[in-house]
Amino acid sequence: MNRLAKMRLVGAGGGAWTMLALLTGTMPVFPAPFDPELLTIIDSYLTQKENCVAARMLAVIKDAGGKVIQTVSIPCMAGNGAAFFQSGAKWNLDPRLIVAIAGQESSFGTDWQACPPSGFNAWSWFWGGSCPNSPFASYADGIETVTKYLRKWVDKGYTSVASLQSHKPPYCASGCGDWTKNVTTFYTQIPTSPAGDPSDLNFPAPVFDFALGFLAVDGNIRGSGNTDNVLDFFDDFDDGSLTAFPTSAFSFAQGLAQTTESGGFLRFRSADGARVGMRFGQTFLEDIATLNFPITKGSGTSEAIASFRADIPAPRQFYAIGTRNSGPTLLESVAISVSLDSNGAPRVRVNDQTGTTLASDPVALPSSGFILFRLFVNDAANQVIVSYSIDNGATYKPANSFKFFLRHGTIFNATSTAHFFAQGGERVGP
Amino acid sequence: MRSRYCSFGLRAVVRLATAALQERATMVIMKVFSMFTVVALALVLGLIGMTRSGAFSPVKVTQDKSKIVLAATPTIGPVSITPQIIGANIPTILKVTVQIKDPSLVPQTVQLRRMEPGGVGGVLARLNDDGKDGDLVAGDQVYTGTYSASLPLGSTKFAVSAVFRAFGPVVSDPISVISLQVPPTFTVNMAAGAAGGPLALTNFGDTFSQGGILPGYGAAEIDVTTVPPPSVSLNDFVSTELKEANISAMQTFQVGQVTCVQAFYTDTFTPTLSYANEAVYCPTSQLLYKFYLTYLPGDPSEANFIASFSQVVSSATLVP
Repeated sequence: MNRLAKMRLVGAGGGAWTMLALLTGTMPVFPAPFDPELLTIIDSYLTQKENCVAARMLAVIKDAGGKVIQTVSIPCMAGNGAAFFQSGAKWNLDPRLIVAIAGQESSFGTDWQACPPSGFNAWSWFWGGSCPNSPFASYADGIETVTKYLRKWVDKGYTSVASLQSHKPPYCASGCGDWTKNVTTFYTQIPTSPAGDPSDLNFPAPVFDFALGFLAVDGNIRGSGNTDNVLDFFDDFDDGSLTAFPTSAFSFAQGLAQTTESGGFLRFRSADGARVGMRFGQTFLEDIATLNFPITKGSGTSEAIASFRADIPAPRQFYAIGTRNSGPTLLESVAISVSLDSNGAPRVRVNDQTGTTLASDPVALPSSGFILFRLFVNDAANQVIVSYSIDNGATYKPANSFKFFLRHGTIFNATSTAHFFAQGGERVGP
Repeated sequence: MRSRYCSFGLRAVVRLATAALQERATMVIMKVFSMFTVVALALVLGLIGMTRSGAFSPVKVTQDKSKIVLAATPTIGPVSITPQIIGANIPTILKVTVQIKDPSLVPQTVQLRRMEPGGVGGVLARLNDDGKDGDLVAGDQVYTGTYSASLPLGSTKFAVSAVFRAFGPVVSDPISVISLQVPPTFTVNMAAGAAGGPLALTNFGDTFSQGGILPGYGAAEIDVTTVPPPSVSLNDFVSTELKEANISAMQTFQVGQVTCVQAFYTDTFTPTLSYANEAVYCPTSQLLYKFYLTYLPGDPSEANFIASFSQVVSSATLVP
């Protein structure tokens, strides 16, 4: 696509925030209207309510008449805090509501009447006509489905706990006397700050909006040998398609449906949906794009350069590129990111697979410009040397010239293959 | 297979790509400056309009109610009426609340009135702050009252009046209740509106299945609600709301003088549960009106549902 066409494309896309960001060099900073510890608090709350021990709890099974016929040990709902949070963030619906409805309908999964616990339908949401015919694959599946369903009714005007019950639909069909009272009690009982507001069920989760301009790779991947100044992969995200090459060469941890390519950028936007991920003992709501072509040990040096719109992230937010080892845990090996330091100033930070900071440097992000990250993989030395540029690639500042430098990172820590990735997100847990 | 940029070196391509990005930014900045000009102009015009209309000042009524004088104090409001969208000619209990903090208020004089073309009409109900008859907390300066209304199709304006010892009678800004046509086969669910929910119409007597599932073919629900004007474009707002929906058609749609967005879409929740929907989003300067029709996909009565929904939507008297 030629430049004129690109400019036309940009002119047609992009919202006011994008325009404001490009004008001022900043993104709007949104105060977190949620308790960032919410997912942990939900787990603690459920653990207490379920008397959950070693991820299992005792539950009673009743017949249709309400007579207890069996007591069984089943998996706890506690431990699904991330699923509650992720679905709540995705659908802008307070996850405390879904916890509270489970409290009302099944005593948080400990009381099953004419309904098998193996169906995980702790919400008595009878999409198949009866509870036995309305199973979910897991608690997480139920959380996602019920959250999505209720979001649709909130959109239609049922914006409070009271209105959800008000005319039986969209939730309680019969015997609803204390439904609003009990759901409200559980909803507000979860010890979060601020407390749940039963008159406002929205959950305006972290708002991040980062934009990857291009990713280019030379060397190692696709059997190309050492870096030779000939590109082996390049995507400037200008065709609007996630499924056509070259963007089809990426995997998106948050899912294809939660990913957008627009305005000449790959967007990392919470509004499109994001996933909850955990590493370094921390929890993140984030979007990740991983290049499927592996970097292979013994296959030569490799260099990747990525350009991000130079947004100033809000507190707890970040955008980054890095390498991650292949394998079931997909451990991050080295990443270079932009985030805010403790004084609220932008900083480029390099970390390893344990979360240890290897280097950091205060950065003056160019207003209405871009920041380029570069990763050089020295295959023979098992080393990743990172640098960044704020003058459009004219010069790069290597990590060993940063204000703080500990050491360069390594790459083939767990496996003999690794992948380049780019991401944007926000830390949401402790 | 090499990429289409294989003939260029990494740094050369990076420079080219960066230059292209810079051009994108420049274009956008120019657009932003244009936008700022428009926004500044709009702000100035808005301020002029507000000053002229005195939209946020209560008005003092003289003894003969023939003359209205702008005044800065005391303040009545904001006034809230629930529900604010009702079925036309169907008796509906309106709950009115208003906050009045001025200490010179004569408490027994807080009254709901209808706004007539010629001015303030007669008293419809008295509002109390005694913790009774719907008033939640006694003495919290929030006055509450109810009024059973059967309003004709269209928009009806109400206001709250009160007497202040040092000032005399004052009337709040008017607040409108919109009455929509209820199709013959549908009934209004009063509880939904009373709880602050939407105008909810169903054709099956609200016999939902547990979880609020539509009971089957032949069942349809119509909901009408409002939200504040969105901070993003209407298309972005609709796109966000219809996330993961299968949208079969989306087009502009005229309701009175307001250009709305009409969407037909299907929401899929489980392998065997999906809802077919028609939604109409109508932006006005004060509110975004949202109309929804919900039924099961493939329902043989679909055409009838859509016709009924059309009656409801077209009966709305919206002002841009």
